[in-house]
Amino acid sequence: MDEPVRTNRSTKENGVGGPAAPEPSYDSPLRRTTLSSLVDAASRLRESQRNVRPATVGVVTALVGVLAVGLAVWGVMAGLPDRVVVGLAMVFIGVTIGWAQMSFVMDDQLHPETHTSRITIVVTVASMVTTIAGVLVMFSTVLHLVALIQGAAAGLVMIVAIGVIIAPWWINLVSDLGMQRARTAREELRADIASRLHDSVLQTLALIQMQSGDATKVAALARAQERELREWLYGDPEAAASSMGMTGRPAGACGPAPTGVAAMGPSAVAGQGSAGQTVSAGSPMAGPGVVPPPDAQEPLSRVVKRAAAGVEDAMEKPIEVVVVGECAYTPNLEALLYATVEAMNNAAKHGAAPISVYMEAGGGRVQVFVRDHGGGFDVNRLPAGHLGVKESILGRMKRSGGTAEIVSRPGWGTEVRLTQPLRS
Amino acid sequence: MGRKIRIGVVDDHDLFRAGVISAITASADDIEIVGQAGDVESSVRMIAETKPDVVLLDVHVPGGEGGGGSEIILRSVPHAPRTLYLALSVSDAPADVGAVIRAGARGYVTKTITADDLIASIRQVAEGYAVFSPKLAGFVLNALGPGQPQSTASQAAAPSPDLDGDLDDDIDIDVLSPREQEVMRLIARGYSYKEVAAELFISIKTVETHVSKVLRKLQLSNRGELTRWAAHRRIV
Repeated sequence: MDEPVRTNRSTKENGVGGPAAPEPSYDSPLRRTTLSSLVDAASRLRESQRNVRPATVGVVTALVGVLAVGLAVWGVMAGLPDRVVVGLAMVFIGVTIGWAQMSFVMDDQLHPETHTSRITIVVTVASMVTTIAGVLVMFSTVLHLVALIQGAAAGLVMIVAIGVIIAPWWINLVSDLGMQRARTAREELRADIASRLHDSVLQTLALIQMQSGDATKVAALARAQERELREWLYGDPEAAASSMGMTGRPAGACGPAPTGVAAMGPSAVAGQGSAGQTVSAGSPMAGPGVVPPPDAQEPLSRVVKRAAAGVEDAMEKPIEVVVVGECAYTPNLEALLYATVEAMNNAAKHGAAPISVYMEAGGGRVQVFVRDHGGGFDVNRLPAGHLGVKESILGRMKRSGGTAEIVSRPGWGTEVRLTQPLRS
Repeated sequence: MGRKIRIGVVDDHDLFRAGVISAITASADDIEIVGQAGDVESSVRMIAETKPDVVLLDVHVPGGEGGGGSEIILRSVPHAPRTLYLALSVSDAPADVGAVIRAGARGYVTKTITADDLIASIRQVAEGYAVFSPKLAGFVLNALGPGQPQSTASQAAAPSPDLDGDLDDDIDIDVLSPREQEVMRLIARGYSYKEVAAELFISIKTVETHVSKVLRKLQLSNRGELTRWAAHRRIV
């Protein structure tokens, strides 16, 4: 009735490092002029310092002002009439500000807020008014006021007429732009999915074909691939195998799963991935090294799932993880984590499927249950020297102020019950 | 077991359907396949004509108004009111599984289930009981469990979880009784119904009754948080 007693076993580091996320792209399908791309480069630089609008507007205004004064000085020196000089300066100011504004509006990927912002409208109208006023001032040297107003009215009518004529073309252009953007987005998405599938599913299928003789291996490969794909499609994509640094929870909060927190889709992660990836492989920690050291404040459920995935891959046995509640990982929980890994290793090594891991956080403590349906063993007759259970689970939990209990019955299997109170 | 369990299989993947059918017929002689279908219209027709005891229902089925498995259930109920449904899904998305459960499915299992477990689940549903996987139990605990999502401390004063436990009254469909919580927790820990019964010193029938009541609460609960929560956490 005595099964061979479980022994400690370390397995190698596993599943570290997801694929690098693509750089966020600022490209829009519009072909740009050199000027606008220069402006874009400048504003992108500015954006990268998280200093978007006020500085940009200030700098542009100052620059335009200096240039306008320079223009005026040149006009006076060249002996032009005062009104012409003033008008010229006003036209210059109006046009440049209008243009600068336009380049922001066009580039709504950089400045999504400017499209709708009231400032945009105000500035645009102001630049138009300034320009028109400038033109009027210039021509007031050669024309009388009445003739000027009549001419302005005629010009207005002409502008409206031209506007009506080119309206269809303009509308066409705008809708075309939208379509092109949508197409670009679709293509990017497709490329993302294709590279994802290529890196994962196709590789796994190739491996399966190579090893089609080995049923256990094939099952393990399929299982690992399924887990990864499932996480990517439906779940927390970080949980599967990667260890990119990213946190979603406020410090120290433990308890029921939050309704609104986290739940990042794959796209959100792709966007953020390049920002902070800390792929940390094998640190010299004392634990049974399956688990890559978690980042501080990472959700515990993710850490546990990753640990389970590691054991699953190493031992080629499926492990089902169920999580209730959520809790940020703290160094306080390290003993619990390693005891859990040890229990999973033992379950995978000596137990039989189904292997279930249940984690519940809340009420000031975290509990983990690792259950297998193997033959079980006699808990009271552990031979000395088998560090696996005694040291790695019971001793470790005791030292960290938690409790551990191992229940095992012949024909029923084994359950390791771990409880760790949370310091507050 | 006198008569055979008559089942229908609904899945739009021909290969998978054939696989399920051959697995069932190979290892269970008390189960008889009476019909199969691959889209919503033909499924509804098949169920109305054959009136199976249990329908194995894929969540994503093309056709109809795009409602998939839940649409099949809702449209078939008038024609075959005694038919029970077991959702068999490859999807982990709570929106999918939640919809089927709420439409009236008696349980949910993933397509990676072993043939023996699938057959056991079919028998369980045929006998009128719910089928809970550990994942589904975890989902229930998260959604209806103790001290759950009422995020603010002020509401914690409401003594929702500690009401009378085993008194069999369905006053509050939004909260599990302590006994139901215990059962759910054990299922989430990977215990079979039999093991739950042994652990709690109750009969399997009682366990099955608890589970069925939890399923009904899940179907009736209109706690908006439940769906929202599920959509966020993507569990089920």
